[in-house]
Amino acid sequence: MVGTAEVIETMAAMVIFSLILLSANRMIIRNTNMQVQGEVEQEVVALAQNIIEESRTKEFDELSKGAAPPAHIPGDFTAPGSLGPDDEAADPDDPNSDDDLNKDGTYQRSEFDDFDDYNGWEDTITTEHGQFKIWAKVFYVNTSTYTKSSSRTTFKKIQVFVSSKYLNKSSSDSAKYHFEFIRNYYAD
Amino acid sequence: MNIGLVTSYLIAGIILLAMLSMNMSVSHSSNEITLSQVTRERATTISDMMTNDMLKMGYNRKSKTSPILTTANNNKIEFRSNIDNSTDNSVEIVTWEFTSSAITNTTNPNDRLLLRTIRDASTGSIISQDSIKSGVIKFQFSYYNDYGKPRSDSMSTPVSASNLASIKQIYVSFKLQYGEKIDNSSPSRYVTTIWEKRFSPPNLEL
Repeated sequence: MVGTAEVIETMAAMVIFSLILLSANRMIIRNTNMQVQGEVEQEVVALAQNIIEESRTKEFDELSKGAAPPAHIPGDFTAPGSLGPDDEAADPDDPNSDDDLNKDGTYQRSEFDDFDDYNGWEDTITTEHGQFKIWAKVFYVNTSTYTKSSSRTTFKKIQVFVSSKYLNKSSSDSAKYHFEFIRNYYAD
Repeated sequence: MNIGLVTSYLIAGIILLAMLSMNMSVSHSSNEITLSQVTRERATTISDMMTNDMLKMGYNRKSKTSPILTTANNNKIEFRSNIDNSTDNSVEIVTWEFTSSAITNTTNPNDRLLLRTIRDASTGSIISQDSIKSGVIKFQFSYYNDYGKPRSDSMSTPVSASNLASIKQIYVSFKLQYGEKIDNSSPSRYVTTIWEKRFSPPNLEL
């Protein structure tokens, strides 16, 4: 048949071009995703920094709030297993040690008065870039290795985690962003 | 008439058009990435300046300044700080204001002038003034008298003089657009970036 060679050549060109087109489309989609990711990651950093800066404005420990420091440091600080918002039993000498100021049975961020009250705190924050899930952990750390310590020390670490549905590791698994800050009782 | 030849020319034409279209798409995407990178860099510069100033609010070498905040409006904030950490403990007044003056050297009709002014607190004379013409189209402050309040639960602005001392957190949000359009589409489309953060200046904690 006349022109068969041309048809075959054209078809080959179409196949090659389709592959190039697919590749270019993938590149455009990847670039767009990275643009969105960069924008949303800015927000993630700002949210985590907000929590860390806020926690730094609080006292180091529920029992270091008074005018005088505790008699034994760090022995008089809150027990490692009790880090978190405090109830009235946290400090027998302080009738106002209960962090549930409005007595509604929940501990709000606005009621926190010391650094470790953020332990176990979680919230969903709505921003211009959508909703972010944010939660925190606070624990004592070893004074030389800065790893988690099961006993009281003069160092506490806050870990802030942030996730968003727009930041995914895979289609079903959302990425968890992790920020840390170590606070020293004597550096306050 | 050679049908095979005609068909192949027709398909080749379609492929050429598709290649042209793909080339334009890739070029457009690349252009948009470059512009958004530039816009984000500009936003980072402003946020770095803002963070530097905000966290030093009320700072002096031996004690806090008094007062700390002097103006708290939704488009303007003014506070005292020894911003240059001078050894003579002299205090400066730092002002951030989003003005209504349009930027005229861009085609974007929405961008306005953002001013950062440092004045000597004792004489009132201007030490430095930065006119930020990076394409800011929105710049907003909100104030909170407690930590962690929902965004909508801010203090009403302008915050009255008697309530200035109760401010604990300051939320800053700004939107930046590149000065030129991405393409000639209508309505005009500009590369946009948004930055927002809630500050907890250490000196505002009672």
